[in-house]
Amino acid sequence: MSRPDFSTILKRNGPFTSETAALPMGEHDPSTSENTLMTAKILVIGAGGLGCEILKDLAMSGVRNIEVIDLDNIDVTNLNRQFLFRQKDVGGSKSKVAAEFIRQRCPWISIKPHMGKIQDKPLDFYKGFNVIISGLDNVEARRWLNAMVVGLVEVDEDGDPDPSTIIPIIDGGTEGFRGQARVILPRITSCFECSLDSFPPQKTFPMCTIAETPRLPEHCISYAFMLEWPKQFPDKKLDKDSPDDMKWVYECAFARAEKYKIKGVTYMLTMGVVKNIIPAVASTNAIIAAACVSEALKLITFTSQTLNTYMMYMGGEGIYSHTFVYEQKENCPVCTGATKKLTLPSDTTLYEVIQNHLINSDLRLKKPSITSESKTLYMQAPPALQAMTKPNLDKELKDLIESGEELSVTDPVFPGEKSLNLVITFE
Amino acid sequence: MPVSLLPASTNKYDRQLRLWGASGQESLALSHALLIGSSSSCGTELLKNLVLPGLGGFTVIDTGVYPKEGEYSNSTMTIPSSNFFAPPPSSSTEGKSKAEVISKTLNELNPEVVGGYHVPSCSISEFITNKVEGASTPQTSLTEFIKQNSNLMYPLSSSPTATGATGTILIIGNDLSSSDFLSLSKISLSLSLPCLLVRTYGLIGSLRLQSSTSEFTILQPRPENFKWDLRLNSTSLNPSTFPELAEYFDKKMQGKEDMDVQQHSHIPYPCILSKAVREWQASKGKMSSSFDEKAEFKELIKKESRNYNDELNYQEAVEKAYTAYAKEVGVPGEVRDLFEREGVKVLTPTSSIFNILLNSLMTYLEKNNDLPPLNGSIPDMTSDTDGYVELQKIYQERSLNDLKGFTEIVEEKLKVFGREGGIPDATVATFVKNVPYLTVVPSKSYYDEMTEPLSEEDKEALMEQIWDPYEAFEHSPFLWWIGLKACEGYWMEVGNWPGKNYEKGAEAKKAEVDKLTSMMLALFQKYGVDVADMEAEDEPSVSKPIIAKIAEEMCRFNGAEMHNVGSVLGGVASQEAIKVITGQYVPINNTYIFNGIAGCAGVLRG
Repeated sequence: MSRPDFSTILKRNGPFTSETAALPMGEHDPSTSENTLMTAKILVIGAGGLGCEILKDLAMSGVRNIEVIDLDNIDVTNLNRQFLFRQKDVGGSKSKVAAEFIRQRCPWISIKPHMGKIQDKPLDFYKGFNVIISGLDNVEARRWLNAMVVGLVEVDEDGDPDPSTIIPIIDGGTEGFRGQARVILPRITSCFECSLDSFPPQKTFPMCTIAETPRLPEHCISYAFMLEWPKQFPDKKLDKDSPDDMKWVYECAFARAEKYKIKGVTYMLTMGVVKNIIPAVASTNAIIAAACVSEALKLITFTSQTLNTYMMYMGGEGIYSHTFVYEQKENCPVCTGATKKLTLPSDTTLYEVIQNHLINSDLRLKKPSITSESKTLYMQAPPALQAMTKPNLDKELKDLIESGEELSVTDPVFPGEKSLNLVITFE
Repeated sequence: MPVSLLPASTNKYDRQLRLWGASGQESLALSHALLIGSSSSCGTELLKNLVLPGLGGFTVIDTGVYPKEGEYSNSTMTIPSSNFFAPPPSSSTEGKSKAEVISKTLNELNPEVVGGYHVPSCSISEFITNKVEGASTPQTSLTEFIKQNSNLMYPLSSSPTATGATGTILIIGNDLSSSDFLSLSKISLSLSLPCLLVRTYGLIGSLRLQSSTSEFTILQPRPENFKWDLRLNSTSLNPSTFPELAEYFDKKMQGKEDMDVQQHSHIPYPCILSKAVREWQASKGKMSSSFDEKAEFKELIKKESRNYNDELNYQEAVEKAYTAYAKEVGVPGEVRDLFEREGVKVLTPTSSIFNILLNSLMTYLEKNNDLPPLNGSIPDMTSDTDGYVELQKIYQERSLNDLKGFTEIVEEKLKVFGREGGIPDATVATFVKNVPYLTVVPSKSYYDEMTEPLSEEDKEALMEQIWDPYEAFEHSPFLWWIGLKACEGYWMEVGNWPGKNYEKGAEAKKAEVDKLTSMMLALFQKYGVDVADMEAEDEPSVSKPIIAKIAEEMCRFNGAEMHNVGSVLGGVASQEAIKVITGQYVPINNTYIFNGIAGCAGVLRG
């Protein structure tokens, strides 16, 4: 039986088009939406497990202008799910091989690969897209992307965002049989940073356990790559992709385990611990990628409602699927522009502020630099400026700033233009 | 070399072996999927997600033939052919069957998989049911095809290999008519094979899972949370039944007063807890479950510490205090309920492996003070290395010993029926490791769902599912499931999907929407759902305006195929297929509905 396709839906009006939704983004126009779809420009971030699926789903849905960015090369362990790659492609650029495959299969599509880091592209690059779909596997890149796209939104005097400057981000992620897809409309819905708490930092073992009282094979492996490697090879960084380096770590961990009579150090576990490997399968990637592309198609054409705002999928025990509004965080430093307020004793050192309140806090910054309106308090780079401001780290706040003074913080987890407002009031 | 033994860095299956392990991978490699109907993307996407992880083999069954080159051009159409694995017609595909081309492109994904195809010389309906109108020559039916090719599809028998792996032949019906689905359900049951029925319709999709029997028995559900069995409860903590553990506890607590700070703060918490239990029993007798006494028990532990805030091991003991006064040991109530299943208490020569193991567990419990064979795994805890390794060894040795005792019971049972060695050691070991998690998921067949009257219990279960708390009630998957069923009925009656005449004016459109609305109303009546005339303002209710809206949207879709909806359903279906094939994780009971309008989904017991 021959069936109609997506164009039939685009050409018809219905009771559930975008304007009827909780998040109306525009009005569905049956006379133009096919054309809108064909001329839309989509950026796909990541050409891995989700990326390969996303590219295929877009190509099969009538999208014709796609760009894809990824910095990775193809690894043999990708082949169980990243179906645009073959054994012969191992070692090649993910974005280039994926784009070439799509181009061969769908010659009518314009697809442009970019090999590199998203952080290295200028802002103007991102401004040209109607929708960005992100299939990233790490929190840092997602934070950067999110802050960058939120920063692109122009806000008028009343604080209302200019809709034409809003680029929706559709973000997907998977882990084993679980995953989530979400829609971020910068400055309208919650953003990635609002939900940072739900992506806890990687769990590490206490150093004293690793060094003194190992009990699990994981403790021995951590000892090998965190303590023993730097001791043995002070000038050489561990290359986690090098079989020689990994073999050394495995053997070192194995020897330590033998010594302590701990069982279970295997090469597979060593790889898992050192590279923090997250299990990944084709099926979950297919589900989450397709759910993301559904949202992209709807956001481009307004042909149906928008996911509001977060869908989680848990497939281990039956299927638990839950769709809900992920609320905006009241004081989200990225999308509300809220000022971070701290009340601290005036003898707190600048070093303590950075370590305890900017890095190891809910802000989870990496290498923050701080300036006040009148002076530079601490800069991580360039080296000359760092050397000049380093003495400030040991100084107490009362010798550096006034209580309640407005400070500005920048950090590599956010784009260069983005700064956080910080106000420290003395106790 | 088995794939599971390849080094992690060169093993393309590494990322999935971390989920389902070597025996799951072997089961997958022993299994075969038959896809019936490959015209829409959902079925081929499903196969893709099984071919990539290393399914043994697959067969694509379709009657379609490829058009001539250029007859069908993607470059002039808005939406290309939605099937990624059916490339545009070219000189190399001309005249070939769709099944052949699709099978070949899918096979390129993984050369280790054996891909095949079959082109029935009759219609798909006739192929499934083996009823051919006025045929002069005998046709190959689905049943015949499976029998003839069973050697290609790996052992039909479900007896496990030495590693406990089993092969499964899975039947997949993709976007067929509801009467074909019905036949497929019935034939799968008669062949004792599991089946998956998938359908996409505009932004809506559904998946129906059916077991080869009336249930799924899961030996290895891989739960998110472990239930550690350390035998610290007052009944299991028994020096006469587990002397090695009691000796260890005594030894570790000896000379506690003379320990230095490091030693004292590294006594493993089970030692601390066991001492507290014995002291409590000596002074008060029975462990109590009252709130006050529990608090008192925790205080008793705290008092024994030197500096509670610094001693992580004492904090762990307080945190785990509940394991000392927990009534349940080892076998939870849900698992004990399984003993009441038919065929567990009395075994027969044809008893299933699962029932024999459950029966053996009952015998084991009788002989062993109601304690199951010990699992043997222990969690990480604050401890010095030697103390931890020694404790781990005590539990592990006991566990191996228990497993031996359990295996002997199993062998005795098998011997009665001349089935010695009929259950591989690996399967027995998996069972023992999973006693607290054993799961049975009932599976009603699609055939029964469609042909038998709904029981009151079924109705109640369905009612609960209507009120799934979504932001907007009109998106409740239950309502769209009814919409989809109504469309299937419409197709059977009219011969096309509703919404065909949408462009022929308001009246023609209204006639289709009205007809579908009344078919939906009839279904709600069948399921015993009250339909209100008007939408209630204060609370969600099934009302005529909502039903009419859903009918209108279903007419708008007119059965349209969207690749990405097929891909969602193909993904979900392949995940369920992997659960069924590996016998790991827990499959659904029994219908998954995706609502791509709101991006929500739900599982219904149809």
